[in-house]
Amino acid sequence: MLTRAEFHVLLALLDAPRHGYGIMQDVETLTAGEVRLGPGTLYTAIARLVRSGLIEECESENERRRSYTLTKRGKAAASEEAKRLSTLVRAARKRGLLPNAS
Amino acid sequence: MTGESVYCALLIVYPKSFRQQYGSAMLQAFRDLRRTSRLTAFRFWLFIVTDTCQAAWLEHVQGWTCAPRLVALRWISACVVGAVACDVMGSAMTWSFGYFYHPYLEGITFMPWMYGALLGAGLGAAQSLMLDHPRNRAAWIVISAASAAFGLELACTVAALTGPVGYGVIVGIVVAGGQWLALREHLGRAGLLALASAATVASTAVAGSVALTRALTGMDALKHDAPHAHPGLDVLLRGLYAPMNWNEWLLGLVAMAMAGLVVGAITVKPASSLLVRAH
Repeated sequence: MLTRAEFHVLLALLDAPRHGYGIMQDVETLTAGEVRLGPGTLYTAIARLVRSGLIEECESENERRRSYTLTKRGKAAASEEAKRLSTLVRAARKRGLLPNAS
Repeated sequence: MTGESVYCALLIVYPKSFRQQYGSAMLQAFRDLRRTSRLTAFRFWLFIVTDTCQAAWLEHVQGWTCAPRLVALRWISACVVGAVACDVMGSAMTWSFGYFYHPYLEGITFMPWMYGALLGAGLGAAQSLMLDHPRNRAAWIVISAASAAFGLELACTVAALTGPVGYGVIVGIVVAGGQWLALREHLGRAGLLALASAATVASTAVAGSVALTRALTGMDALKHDAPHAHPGLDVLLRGLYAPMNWNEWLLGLVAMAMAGLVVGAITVKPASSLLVRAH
């Protein structure tokens, strides 16, 4: 199972490759400022994702920055995690923890 | 001192390999973050320090739960289990002879080398679980058993001259030498490995052989006397070879576990080249 930081990194890389700071910005935007990844949390998540083959380093326009892109396995893992979270949300809704979507 | 140099200093808390791989990228991310952050200086640094401590701790834990550190932990555990198993075997034999004693057994003879082979095989078998190739495993066990058998026989012969410590050292050196010969091509810093093996096998041999001697007292089973405890070693050896109650038996187990732990810790470095390849 992915950690919260890992899932955020995968989400940020879904539409395009990004460098570290780009991922941090995208995560903050996606979560309306609720989640802020520090450099430590970000790069430990990146290291784990690279090790497990879910993301990989790719060429960057700026040579000083390292960019990352999602692999096929990474996309599948993100999709799996999204389904799991969606099931949890449905369960929470059923029990009245969340208001109905309609 | 600039903010960047403070952050560079903070990076030291990460594992070295992680720092080498991601340190410069993290510093770049820190620069970008600092440039655009709307937080006050205090809250910004609180965020950075908290983030660094949490992430570094997780990375260290991650390092311990995967190879090669996991391999190291397994190796140390194997040494502890091997040493403790030897002590348990010694105690089990003591109890068995006491329990199943029969006059027909009078005069039965156990040569020291037989007991040495048992000790060597026990410790070698536990350590060999860490080796990859079946041929390496078999070689490790056979060599450990054979060299412990020879070592114990030799040590018993000169026990009267050397005392318990010298007796253990002789067994240990012979066993360590045998193990080194078996796998010297794969091992780095074989001297350290030999030294550490000497320490463990010495303690297991002293513990086990004297336990057997005690079990066979009156039966003249061993052809040679095992070493008599030096007054200064009484406390340790009593727990190891002549437990009179559960507390003393427990002391023996703890002492053997400590011996295994020390041996595992010392040998993990020289043995790591072999072990990492195995996993």
